[in-house]
Amino acid sequence: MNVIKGIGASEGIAFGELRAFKKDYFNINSEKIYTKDHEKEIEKYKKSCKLAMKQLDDLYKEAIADIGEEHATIFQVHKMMIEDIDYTNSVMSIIINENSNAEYAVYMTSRNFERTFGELDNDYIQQRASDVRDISKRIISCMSLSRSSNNKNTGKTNIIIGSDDLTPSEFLELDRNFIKGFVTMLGSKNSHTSILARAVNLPCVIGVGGQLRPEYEGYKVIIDSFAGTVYVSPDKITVKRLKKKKELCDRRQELLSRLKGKEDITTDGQKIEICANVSHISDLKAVRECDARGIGLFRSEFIFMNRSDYPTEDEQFQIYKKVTTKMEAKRVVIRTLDVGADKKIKYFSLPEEVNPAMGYRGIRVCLDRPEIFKTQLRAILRASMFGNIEILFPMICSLDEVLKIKHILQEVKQDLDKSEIEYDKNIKIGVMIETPAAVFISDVLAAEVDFFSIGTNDLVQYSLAVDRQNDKVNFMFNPHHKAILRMIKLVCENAKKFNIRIAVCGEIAADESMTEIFLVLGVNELSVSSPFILGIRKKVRETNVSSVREEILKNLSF
Amino acid sequence: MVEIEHKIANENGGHVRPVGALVHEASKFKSEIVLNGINARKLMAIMSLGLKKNQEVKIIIDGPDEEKARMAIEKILVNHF
Repeated sequence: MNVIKGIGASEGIAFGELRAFKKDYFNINSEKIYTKDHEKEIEKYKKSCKLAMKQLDDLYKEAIADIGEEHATIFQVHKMMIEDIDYTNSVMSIIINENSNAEYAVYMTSRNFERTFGELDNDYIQQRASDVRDISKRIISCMSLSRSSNNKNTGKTNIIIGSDDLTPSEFLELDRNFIKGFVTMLGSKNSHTSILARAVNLPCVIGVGGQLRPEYEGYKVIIDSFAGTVYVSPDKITVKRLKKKKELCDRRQELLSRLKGKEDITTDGQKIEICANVSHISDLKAVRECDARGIGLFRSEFIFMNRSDYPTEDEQFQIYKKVTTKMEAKRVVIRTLDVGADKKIKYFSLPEEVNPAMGYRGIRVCLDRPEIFKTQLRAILRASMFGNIEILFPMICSLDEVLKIKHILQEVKQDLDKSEIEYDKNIKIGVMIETPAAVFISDVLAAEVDFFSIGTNDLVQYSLAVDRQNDKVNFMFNPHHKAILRMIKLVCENAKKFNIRIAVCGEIAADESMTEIFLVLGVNELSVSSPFILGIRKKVRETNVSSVREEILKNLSF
Repeated sequence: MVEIEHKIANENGGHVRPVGALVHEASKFKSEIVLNGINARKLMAIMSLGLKKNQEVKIIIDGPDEEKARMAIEKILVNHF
């Protein structure tokens, strides 16, 4: 067994026989032929450009159905490249000045552009060299009218393609009924081919360089693109291990495709919204892929972390705007800065505390340092014009805190009014219910806010007096404790009384053994990390609330 | 003659699709449109600038429909760059 290491540019595992990709590339008809008949060559060039444009039109239409409009745009851009004036001028001038045939002129032009892009210190643009090569190859093959298509499969074996590099057009040529993945010597995660591979979930490992050897042709290989690894003639243990991994991955994939776009609704018609928790801007992709209804908890702390000074209003605004724009009209609940306790940020110079969980943290810091708080609120309000934003305040213990928050928010709004800056005037606000105090005054709080979000991690810690970081007692950290469930029940009842939305965003929201209880208690929204969304959706869709209601309520009653 | 200055805020600001959108838009107008000294109708040339996030770009528009062009180009910059 040989192990090849590269970059896993998409996710998945594939088994198959290694086959080299047959390229017509520039080998055909690109050698220089001396000719003085410039007009004929230019005519040939123009005609083949026209044909190439038409092919790209067709490919574009095909690709929309195959890989979606967003990714298909690349073929529109290819058309623009063919029409590019510098490209065209270069071909013309080579034909005329070097008395050469059109094929050679296109070949040389391609080489020159590839070199220009390749020299830039921008990996993304470097990858555009392969787009240039792709269109050039297309133009040349249109001249000779001899399209090779030896990459359609004849047999029934599963195939893994091995190649130096694949262009986007070559990628689309692959017959995915048989071709289960590919390995390339060149390439990067940013290349269009990698993007396309991800769009159709085709496993691939790229950038393996000379490790991919010609003599491997025909060998059995396994691609593990999670790990960026290719196994050539794998041993039994490896086969077994990867088969198992593939099964898991396939099952997840199947779940994904089956549940995407489906409603979050029980068999007896009760609806709940499954949203995503976001801890970093890079989570957004997964949020959309897993088909979240919205963002139920946007932990704004990350904007303040890994830097040496406070983020400015504008920096924050750009991030909030980006998030809400990406989520389109879906709800985005931004939780204001929650630092302190185990989340320390150096430039805040928070004092060392004997008991940080009970100390200077969350909303307490914000109310004590209103300038930081106001800057964040201004940024959020400004971004509220670009989508559907709501604001969530952490670590609430008293009505007084909520009134202070509302007062500060009002001041910020008035400031914006004065400067004639627009914002969502009816922006909704909510509070985290994560302290026992908040639970037992939830009726009082409900009258002041638009929604609740129950955070179970802190609620459990404070209610059961258990520090999760402490090895001696962490086995007692039990979100299923009757005390916790009764608290959740009380909060839900008070939310219903005041007709406000009730969400659960702690880890417990992703616990499938809790889903029935949340449904019975009438929770409106569960916010979980993206990988759990579809699993919970499945659970919801299999639940019949009326059949479990009585027993659950009986268990929770006093 | 009108000028636009813009700092690229988008991670993908210099990528093919945004640049493609810009070139496509620029081609609709009669005015000369020049980005950092390069004709904004030239896809390959703009791409070879290798534009990156946080880079400043300056666009100069000169011609009969420069106001219209400015509005259109600004829209592209805000949405894609």
